[in-house]
Amino acid sequence: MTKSDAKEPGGCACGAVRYVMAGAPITVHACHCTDCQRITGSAFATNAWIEKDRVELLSGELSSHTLPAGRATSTTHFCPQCGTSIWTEYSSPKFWFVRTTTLDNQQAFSPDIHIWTQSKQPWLQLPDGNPVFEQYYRREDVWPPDSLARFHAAIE
Amino acid sequence: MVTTKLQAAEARELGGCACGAVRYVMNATPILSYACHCTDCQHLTGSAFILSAWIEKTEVELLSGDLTACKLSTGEHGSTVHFCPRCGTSIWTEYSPGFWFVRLTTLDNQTAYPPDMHIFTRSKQPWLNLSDAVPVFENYYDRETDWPAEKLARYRAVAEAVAG
Repeated sequence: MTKSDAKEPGGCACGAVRYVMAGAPITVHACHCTDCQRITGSAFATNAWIEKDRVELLSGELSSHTLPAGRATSTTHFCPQCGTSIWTEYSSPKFWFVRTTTLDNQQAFSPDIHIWTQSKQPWLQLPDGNPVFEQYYRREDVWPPDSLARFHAAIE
Repeated sequence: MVTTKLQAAEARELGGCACGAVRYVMNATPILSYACHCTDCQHLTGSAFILSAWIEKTEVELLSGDLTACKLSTGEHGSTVHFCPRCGTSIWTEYSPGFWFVRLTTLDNQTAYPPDMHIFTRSKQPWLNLSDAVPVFENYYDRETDWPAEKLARYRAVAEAVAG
């Protein structure tokens, strides 16, 4: 997990939406599920899991759409002018999953964990050294203590 | 002509947006499929690259739903991205007249067309490993030398018609 308290600004492709993320995410997923592939137009989404109170919308408005995601739902928020998806809410209302490449520093945070690789693009090679899960995982088995502490602090 | 039509029928691929409002059909194999790692594509996708199919507009048909268009300054001559206004899924982009650049993972068969090449890898995400199975270009490439003859023929047929 990247250690950083820096404020990272970001936004959509047309410039209408601007936001700032304060500090490093709890963790970063590369999600290879079929929905993420469809929504991104890529092989996976790179999502920064972060407390909502660390993220601030500075300008623009977001449209949202809710999709079924397994037994829960996902609500993706996107710029209505250019369609760029900025963040998604999954099972908990306490967190955003921010698309890391909408940050101005697109290389600020690389994926910690690859999930749903059962639907991975066959040609794609995953890097060695990061946990890879065919589906999902148990947080307690994978996350370092500081990430778990942040997660529990946010939901309590 | 008969052969071409048969090939097209075999290549028929349905696709659509995440919420299901937009559905389309692609009636031929792409001229080229590619992964673009430029910073603009990373921005638009929320991922490390875009997977695009370069195809004649005449081979693509919108079956249902409406698309919102947004002009962007990305690409050599600008671009227009078309997306579902309900769920935000981008379906295709116009970079040059006569062609769509269809997002390959909006096809129902999301693994139908792996990338033929990787472009603009100078801004590739550092953590990403690319295999050497297909050509990798740090920037762009020279269509005349880097495309096989049949791809060039399909490209020229449309590009020359558009140029009039």
